[in-house]
Amino acid sequence: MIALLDNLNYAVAMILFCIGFYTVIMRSNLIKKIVGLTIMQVAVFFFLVSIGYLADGEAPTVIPGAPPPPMVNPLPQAMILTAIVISVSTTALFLSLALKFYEHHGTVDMDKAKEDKR
Amino acid sequence: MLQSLNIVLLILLVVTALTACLHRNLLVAVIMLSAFSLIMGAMWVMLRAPDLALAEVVAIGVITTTFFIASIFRTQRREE
Amino acid sequence: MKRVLAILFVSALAALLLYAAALLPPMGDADNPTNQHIAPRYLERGPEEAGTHNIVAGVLLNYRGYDTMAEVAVLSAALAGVFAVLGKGRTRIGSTFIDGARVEFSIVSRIAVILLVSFIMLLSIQVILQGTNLPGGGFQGGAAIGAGVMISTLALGFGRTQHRVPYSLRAILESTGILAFFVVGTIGVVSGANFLTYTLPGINEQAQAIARTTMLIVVEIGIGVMVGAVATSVFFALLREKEAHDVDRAA
Repeated sequence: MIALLDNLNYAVAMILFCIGFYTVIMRSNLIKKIVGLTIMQVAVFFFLVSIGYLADGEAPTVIPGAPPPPMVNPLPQAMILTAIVISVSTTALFLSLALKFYEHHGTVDMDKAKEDKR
Repeated sequence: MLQSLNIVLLILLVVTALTACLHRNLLVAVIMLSAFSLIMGAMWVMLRAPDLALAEVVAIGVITTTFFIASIFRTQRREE
Repeated sequence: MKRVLAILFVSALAALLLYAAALLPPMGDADNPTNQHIAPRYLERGPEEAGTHNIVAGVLLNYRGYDTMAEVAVLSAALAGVFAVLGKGRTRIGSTFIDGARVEFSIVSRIAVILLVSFIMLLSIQVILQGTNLPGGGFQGGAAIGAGVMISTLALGFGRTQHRVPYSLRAILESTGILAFFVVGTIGVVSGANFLTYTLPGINEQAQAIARTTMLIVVEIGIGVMVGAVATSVFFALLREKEAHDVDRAA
């Protein structure tokens, strides 16, 4: 437990992941599920970039003329930038499918659509 | 000072995420998602990642939120 | 019953993940394995090998250029999926306001939004073009362009904005992202090196630096306009089919 105080960023990232996960599995509304999915994705991005942090490091941009200070790890930042783009794409596709579901069933709620089908 | 700012931002993150996931009004949930992305943008600046702060605020805070608002406009406003 | 089981499962998952988080080395330590092997090499030799002052942009476009090309391909695939589900819809419909209202906003809001969107477009062009030397880049600026178009749709109405960004323009812009990567990569192959090395054939060493900067900016602009067009197209597709009782206002 004491070791968690150094890694508070990691702990909050995992708590956010579990909050998003609970929303995805327990709420039957499709739009709420997509909100939970977005929170899960942001939690994973937060965790991955926190791993690359260097204490008293600077942003990875070289200012010409001055000697470069110690900088944080640029590799997770580049990968998470790609991942943010992919998150937008999958959210767009998921929302269009939810809209089609609404047109077909009259509701966005999965439990209500299952009841009305009988 | 920076450590306490870090802790405040983390608490705000958890609070906005909980409100986004537990509230029954979908519009409130989506606006809380936008606030969550703004707090996360501040967190990225604390982690020395300015590219990610820009990308997060504009991609999740504006674009994904507007997609959600367009979808809520065409479907239903409340969760039940 | 299902809720109790779900809470138990999520609590167990949270306990396991927090235990793993406590076992990780302390955050920000200089002896972490993540700061050891490849990060110092990117940080030291990034500006000369990749040609950018922004090392993250150098990693994105040069060291991990294939990942960025695949990201652009994923954007295109998502756009194709959204069009397949919701329809392309080249027809123009009347002006829809997003709360279902039929009266336009007042002239104060309209002029304020027009001014704001002008500055947003200027800022996003600056963010795209300075993406190799300052924080920013193709994706950030392109998403800001899409955000500007969305804001003007919210305030000025759908019909008027769709008249300014018609489908013919968006179709051209959506293809330029992956085309920019393919053309720049093939130029690298033609000049004798690997795919997506930013070299031009047949010029001397001093001019290669200028050629590399130019090709990086071309790729950034391609990504930027593509992301803006994709975001706009998806927004219009999500908004479009609210039909039959909208007020039609000619632009």
